[in-house]
Amino acid sequence: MTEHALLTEGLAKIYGRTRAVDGLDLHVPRGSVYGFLGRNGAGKTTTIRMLMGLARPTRGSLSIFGMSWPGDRLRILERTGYVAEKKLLFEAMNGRDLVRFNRPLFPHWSDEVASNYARQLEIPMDRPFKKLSLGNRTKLCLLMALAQGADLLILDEPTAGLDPVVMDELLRVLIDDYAGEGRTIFLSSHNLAEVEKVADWVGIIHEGKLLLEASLEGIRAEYRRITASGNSLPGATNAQVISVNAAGSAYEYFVRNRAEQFASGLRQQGATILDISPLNLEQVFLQLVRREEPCTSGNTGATHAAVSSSI
Amino acid sequence: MYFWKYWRDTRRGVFVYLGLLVLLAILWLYSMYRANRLGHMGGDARTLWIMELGVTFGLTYLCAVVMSFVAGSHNVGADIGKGTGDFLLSRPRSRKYFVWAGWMAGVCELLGLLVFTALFVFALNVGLFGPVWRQLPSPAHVRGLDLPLMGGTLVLTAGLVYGLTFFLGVLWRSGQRGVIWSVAILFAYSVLSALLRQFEGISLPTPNLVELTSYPAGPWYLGLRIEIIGWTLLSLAFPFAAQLVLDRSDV
Amino acid sequence: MFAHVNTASGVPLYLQIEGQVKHAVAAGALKQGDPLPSVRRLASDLRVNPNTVARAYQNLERDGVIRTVPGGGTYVAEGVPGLLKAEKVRRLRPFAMQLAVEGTHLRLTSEDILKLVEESLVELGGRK
Repeated sequence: MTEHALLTEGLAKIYGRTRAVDGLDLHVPRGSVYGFLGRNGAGKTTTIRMLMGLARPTRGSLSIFGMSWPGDRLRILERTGYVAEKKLLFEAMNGRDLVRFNRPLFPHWSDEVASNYARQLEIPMDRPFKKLSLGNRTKLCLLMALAQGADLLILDEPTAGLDPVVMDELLRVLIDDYAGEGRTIFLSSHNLAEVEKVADWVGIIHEGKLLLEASLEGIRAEYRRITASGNSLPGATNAQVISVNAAGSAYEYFVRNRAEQFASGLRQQGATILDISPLNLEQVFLQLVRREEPCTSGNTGATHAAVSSSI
Repeated sequence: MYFWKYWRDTRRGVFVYLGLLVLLAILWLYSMYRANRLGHMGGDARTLWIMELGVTFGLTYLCAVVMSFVAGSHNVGADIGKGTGDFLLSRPRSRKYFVWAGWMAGVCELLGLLVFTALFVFALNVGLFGPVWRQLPSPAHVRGLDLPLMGGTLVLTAGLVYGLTFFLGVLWRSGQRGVIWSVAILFAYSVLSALLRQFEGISLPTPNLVELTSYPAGPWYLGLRIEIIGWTLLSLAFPFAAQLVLDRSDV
Repeated sequence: MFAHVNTASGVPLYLQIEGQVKHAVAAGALKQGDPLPSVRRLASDLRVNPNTVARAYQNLERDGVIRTVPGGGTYVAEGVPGLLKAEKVRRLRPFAMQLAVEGTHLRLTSEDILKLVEESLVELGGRK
C-alpha cells in the first residue's frame, strides 16, 4: 500500500531550448487534496499532461500508486480520472451518449453517481456537447471523471473561465464527492482563495521548478509577516526571509518559519515589532513568486538591496 | 465502444449519401419514364446485362472513391486536431487500439456502403429490365466484364483511398487536410499514370484491376495475384504507419 | 446557519468554524441536543476540506461544546463544558488581552472598553 498517490522525481520536459518543466519532485499523499499552483506558463499543464501519458517526459520518473508508464498504462488510466485544460468532449454527442461511451471503459463506473451529479449540477444531458456553455461543458467533464470510480482525480484548472455561481456549484460537488469517497485530488488552479479552502497540500511551480511544496497547515503555522520599525534593519533575504518590503517608515519581513526567533533577533537590534501576522495562501504565493521575478512591475521595495534607515 | 463513436461521427454522412443515392435513383427512373423506355428496353440479353453490370460497377466505383475519402477523414488524428485528443487518449486503451479500431470501423462502414450501393443499383436494374442473366451461359464472365475482377477493384481501390486518407489525417491531425493531400496525391498519380500510358505506353501499378487487365502490362508487372497482394499489403501498411506516428508523438 | 468562512484574514478556517458554533450556542441559536450537520455536509456547504471541519468538530468535542453519538450524528452537548473555572478563565485570557491591546491602541479608556464588553453581553443575552 503506497502512501503516495503520485510521486515524481526529477520530472522534466524540454523542448529545444525551453525548459517547460525542469526537475519536478512532487509528493502527493494518498487521500489528500493537493493544489498545484503557478502562474500562466509556469508548467502546470505540461506537468499534468505528462502525468496522464499524453506527453512523454524528457527526463525523470513519475509513479501513480506505485505504477509507472508505459508498462502500467492501462491500470493507471483506469484508476485516474482526468479533466483536461481544454474542456472538450465529442461535439456531436450529448451527455447521455458520452456516459454510454465512457461506461464500458471503466470497471468501477457508476451510473448512479453520474445521474446524481447530473441532477445536482443541473447539466442538460440531452443537448449536444457543441451547444453547451463553458460552464456546462466543465460540469460534464467533471461528471465523467467522478462517475468513473477513480482513486485519483487530476483536474487541470477545473474552475477556469467559470462564473462564480458555477464555480461554487462545482466545488460543492467536488467536496461532497471527496468527503464521501476519499479519493486523492490533484488540481491546478489560479483561484488561490478556493484552493486554500479545499486543499490540504500545495505545490507551487514557477518556470518549471518547484518553489514550495508544503501542507497548508504547515504554511499557516510557520509563514509570518513581521512588521518592524527601527534603525539599520537588515534588508537582505536569505533562506528564512522570503522578501523585505519598505512600508512607509516600517519594514515588512515575510518569513518562512521561526518568526518569533527572527522577531527577537530584530528586537535585539533595537527594532520595535509592530505586528506579527499569519499569511494567507495568496500572500505566500505572491511573495514567493515575486522573489523569483524581482524586476516585474508591481513589486514594492527592494528585495536584495541593503536598506538605509529612514526613521 | 470506438465503433459506436465512429458510427455517431459518420452517421450524418451515411444518411446524406443514402439520400443522394435514392434521389439519383428516382431521377433516373423518372428520366427513363419520360423517355418512355420503362419496360421497353431494346437489345439482347447480353447487351442489357453488360449495361446493368456497367452501371452498377460505375456507381459503386464512384461510391468507393468518394466515400473512402469521407470515411478516411474520421480518425484519431482528426480527434486530436479538434481538441478531444486529451479526453480520448486518456481513456484506458492503448493508442494502437484507437488507430486500428478506428480504421476497422471505417472499413466495416465502407464495405457496408459498397455492398448496399451495388445491390441497390443492381436491384433497380433488375427491377426494370428483368433477370437478364438467366439467359446467359456464364454471366460472371461475359466478354469485357469479369465480376470477381470488378469486385476486387472496388475493394482494393477503397482500401487504397481510405488507407491513404486515414494515414494522412493521423499525420496532419486533421481530417480535412488528410483528404486534401490524399486527393492531391491520388489525382497527381492518376494523371501521371494516364500520361505515361498515353505517351510512353507504360502502365503504372493501379488497384483498378479491370484497367490493369485491359492494357499491356508495365515492366514491373508480376502477375495479377502479386498485384492484389501488393495492394492489400499497402492498404494495411497505412494504419500501421499511422500507429507508428501516433505512438511516438505527444498528443 | 453557518456563514461562509474566508481565507482573507489568515485566521485558520477550523477556528472560524469553531467560533461560529460557539457563537451560535452562546447566543441560543443552537440549543442543547440540537443536531449539527455531518462533517461531509458542512464541508460541502462551506466548500472547505472535510479535514478542516473534522478538526473543528474534534476541538469542539474536546471542549465539551458538542458530542458525537456512536451511531453517527453530532449534537450540541448538554450542560456547560465540564471545566474548572480556572481553566475557563485561562481560556478567555488571550481574548481579554487582545481586547485590551486594541482598546489601548485606539486610546479608549478602561470605562469605554468595559462598557463595550457589557453591551456585547447584553446583545448576546437578548438573542436567547
